[in-house]
Amino acid sequence: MTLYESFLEAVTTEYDTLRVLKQSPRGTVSVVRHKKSGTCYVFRRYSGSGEVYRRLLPVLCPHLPQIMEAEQDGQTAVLEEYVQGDTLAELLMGARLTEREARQVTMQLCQALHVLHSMGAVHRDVKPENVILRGSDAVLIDFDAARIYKDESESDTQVLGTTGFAAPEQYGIFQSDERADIFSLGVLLNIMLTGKHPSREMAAGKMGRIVRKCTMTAPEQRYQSARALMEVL
Amino acid sequence: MNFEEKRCPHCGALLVENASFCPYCESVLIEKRPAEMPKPKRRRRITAALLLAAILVVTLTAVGFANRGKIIDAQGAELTYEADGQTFHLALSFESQGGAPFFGQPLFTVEVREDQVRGQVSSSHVFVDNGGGVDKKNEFLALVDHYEVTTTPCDGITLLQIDETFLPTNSNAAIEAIPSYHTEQLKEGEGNVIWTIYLKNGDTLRLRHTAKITRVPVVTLTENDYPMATVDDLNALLDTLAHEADRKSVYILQLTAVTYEGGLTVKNFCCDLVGSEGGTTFTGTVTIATRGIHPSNITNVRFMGDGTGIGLSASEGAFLHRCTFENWEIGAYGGLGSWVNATGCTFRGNGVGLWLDNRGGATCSGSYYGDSVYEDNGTAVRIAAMPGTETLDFNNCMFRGNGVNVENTAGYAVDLSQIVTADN
Repeated sequence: MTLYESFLEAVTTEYDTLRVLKQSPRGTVSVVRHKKSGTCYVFRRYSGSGEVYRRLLPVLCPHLPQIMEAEQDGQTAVLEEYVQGDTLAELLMGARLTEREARQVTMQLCQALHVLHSMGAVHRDVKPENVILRGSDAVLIDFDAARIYKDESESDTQVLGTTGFAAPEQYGIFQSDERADIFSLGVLLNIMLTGKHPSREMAAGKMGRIVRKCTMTAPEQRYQSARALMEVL
Repeated sequence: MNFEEKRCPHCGALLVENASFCPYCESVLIEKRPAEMPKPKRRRRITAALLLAAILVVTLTAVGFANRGKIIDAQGAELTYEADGQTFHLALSFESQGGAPFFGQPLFTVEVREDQVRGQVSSSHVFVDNGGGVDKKNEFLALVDHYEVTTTPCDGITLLQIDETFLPTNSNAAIEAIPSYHTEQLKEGEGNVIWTIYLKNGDTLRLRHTAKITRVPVVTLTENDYPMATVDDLNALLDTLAHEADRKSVYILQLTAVTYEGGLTVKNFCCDLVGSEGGTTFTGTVTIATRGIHPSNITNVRFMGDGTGIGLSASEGAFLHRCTFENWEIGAYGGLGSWVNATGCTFRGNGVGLWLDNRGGATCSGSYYGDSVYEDNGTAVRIAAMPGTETLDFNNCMFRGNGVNVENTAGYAVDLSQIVTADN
């Protein structure tokens, strides 16, 4: 029995599966509940690297879910905090955020990204469905697409991300780094304000200028870090 | 199993060696730390400014404190302080004589009669030795700049106040303070006596101890409650009380205005005798053997003898107020391990008016012996033995026609500086 199998066995015996959140050829994401305590967690099983989850194990951040355990053995199994709340996608259905609300959410996501980036990780899938609003905190979830940035790599080995939000380099032109997340966050900011992709309608005023800089095709023309984006926000 | 294993420290479940979480009992097995998150520059500037200000304040305060010296708070009745290469062990005590080495007395219970709304508590003393019993009070006092003694209220009511602080000359304490209680509301409680001693080198020493005020019930008995017309009536009452009285209470006997032919003995309970304004007289010996924790008060009673015997004999503490002792071999005698205090009394025509013969008993609870008249006695006052070091104060007493005014064979400290004599 491997580490991974041992962990899977414990989750299978000690937890009930409440519902499946996402199922794809890559893997499954489900909500599980501890049989004795009733505490809910998110349980992920997917093919791919779990390195980002492992790096997040000792981290506490109000804008990231707490990772309880992450095991990897060809596949990755992750048990993480179940963040209760509505996704930003649900909130944006038929509604827009005010500039102040959008700025606040973006700032918090910048903080989450800063934590990820500072450990050498890139999220690569920042989008409304991966942001849960827990009270006044925006929580960035789902690091299945995340990867550890490698200096020597010239291009991404696998195209991951969500069309419309993914930066050009995520399609293989360059290796994606933290500036790819800045691109996605710019798109997200624009959608929070206008409900549309920047290519269709750019937010007005200062926020529009920020979105434009976030979504420049050349990574070097974007804000170079989440912190830099926070400064202008 | 092909992996290093360990047990969950909380539930004992078998886990992999590097497990971060026990899926069985949900215990987190690794240290988690809040992530460092960036703040906008503007906030960072404000934070930096605040931080700078805080550092400045802390620095200035630290410099200030450094100049002011250390504050050493014992949070209790004892502390050890080192200065000038010497060790000083300070101990607070309500006892007038410290031991060797001195011991702190954190709590002292003061039993207060419920008819006594104010009065002094035993003095609070600061004793100083080197921690091994060698007295260091003089060396320590040389370091002292000044000191203050305060009290803290109990439940919002100030039970204690400090009447006086001084450097005692008749005690081995370094400093002494006299607290008094004020209990108009018949309140019980605790009052802290806090000593703050400021040293010349800037250091401050703080010690504290507590006086606990407890109330003693007082029961007043009159002739309406019991027959008191004759000395036999009184002795019958005293016998009854000796067997039935609550030992924790004080009984006040309001005597009638008669001459009791004979004497009586008060024993086994605490009792005050209060004579009538119309004149209450005993012709026999009154013996105080209360074996109680409270001294007896004998007030406004005449003791008329026939030239023999003792007017009042006390083997427990007794305060005599406005009493008259006339024509006894001994007017009032305090012996067998106790003392008698007399104020405002008259001792006339006795062989010895007041004889203090306390050999090894309790120290006197009151040192003021003033306002009395000693007249035509063979010896007005004889101090044969008295423990303690307080000065007996006979100021405002009149001595006239006595063979000897004060025969002080004990060599006890007395203050006769303001007495009135026939020669004045």
